[in-house]
Amino acid sequence: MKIYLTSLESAFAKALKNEFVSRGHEVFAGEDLQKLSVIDLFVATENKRLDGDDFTVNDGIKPEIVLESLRYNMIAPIKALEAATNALDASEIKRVCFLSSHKACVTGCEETSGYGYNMAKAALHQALHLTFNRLRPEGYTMRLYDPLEGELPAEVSAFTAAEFFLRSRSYDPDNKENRSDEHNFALYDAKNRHISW
Amino acid sequence: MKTALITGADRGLGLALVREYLNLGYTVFAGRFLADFHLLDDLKKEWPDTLHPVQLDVESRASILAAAQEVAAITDHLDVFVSDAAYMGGPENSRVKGEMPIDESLLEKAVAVNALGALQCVEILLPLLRKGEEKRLCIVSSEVSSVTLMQRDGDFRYCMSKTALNVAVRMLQNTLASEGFTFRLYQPGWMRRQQPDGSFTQWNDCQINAADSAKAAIPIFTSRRPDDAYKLELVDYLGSVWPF
Repeated sequence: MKIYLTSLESAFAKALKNEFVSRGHEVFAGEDLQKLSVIDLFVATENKRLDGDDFTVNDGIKPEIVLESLRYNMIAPIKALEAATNALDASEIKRVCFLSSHKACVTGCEETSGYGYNMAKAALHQALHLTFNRLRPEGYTMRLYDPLEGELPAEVSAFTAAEFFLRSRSYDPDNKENRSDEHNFALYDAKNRHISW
Repeated sequence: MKTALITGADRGLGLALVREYLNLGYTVFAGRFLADFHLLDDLKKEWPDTLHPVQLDVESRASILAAAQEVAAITDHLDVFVSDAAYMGGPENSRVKGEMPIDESLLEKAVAVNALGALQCVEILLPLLRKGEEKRLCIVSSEVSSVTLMQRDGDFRYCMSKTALNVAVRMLQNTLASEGFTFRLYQPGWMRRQQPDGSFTQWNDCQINAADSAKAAIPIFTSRRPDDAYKLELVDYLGSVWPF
């Protein structure tokens, strides 16, 4: 399988690359997307709480940090996907994978700081759901994954991610609408917990 | 004196909410932003003593700071904050495989106005809100903020900014609930857009008029509940609860 990772900046991304390579896949990272004619699996690895993104409302909101985080954690992955769609269209697999966190979900967010990260990833969730609705009829499938960075070793999280990204989810050819999990837009974490929005 | 500050009050829902709070006896600070709208001036003639239009561009930190100063010159407290100001956006350019490339600057602008705007208003108004008795923060969100129920496949700019707003409100609650602050997230329904002359655009998909949505919001915005300190929910103009 031809796999494209947007960047190898994080320990998780490096471990994920190694995991894919050890399974015999051809991995490209951060290269000029236009050189790739086919991508089977696309992984946007941008997932970082930026320096300075540690203020509460009592400390004072730093809008420039929030917008910088938006550019890194939300806009960059979406623009990378936009640039990769020609190569993904040429694949029969067409799977796109993104990283996020339970901390960016309204239901379960218990944080008082990290506005930049949480708001950027919350925005990403919704942008991806619309994009999923747009691309699923063309045969695309999507994975949204919380690597639980800082909680699990990167190698363990990368192993679980590779499993989640590469394996199929339930598909019932006789009842495609109701019994195909590929039709569900969902966030799973590295412990295989389904996270509520 | 009960006091409220309402953003995005030049027209539509914001203006209708100003009218509702005036009728409830509040002194209302009404955020104005649109230069070609004078409906607040007309309302000021009806309520010369208790309506105070203030210049307020929620995208600008300097503007919010200036508005807070203007309010502080008239009152030492705010009971209620209502965030209504929003940026809907222009052409179809926030869609993967759309006809136009995604415009990053407009994605930033949507978050800057629709999510950061409300967040910075709360932060900057906190000294006044802490002195208020009600400590009620009402945030107008949208049905398109719901990730669970998102069925569209078009532009995501406005939708994603409202989802970001919801998580920001949750984080505000995580910090401020212990001080007695309570929150409302409101889904006002789709309304016709108000024009400078006060008329409304024709729109067949309209669900509710701004005046009726404001009337529906008031019991939600003014209610007291035993679970207020713990729960955050997105409630629509019918009183129904939306999943996040």
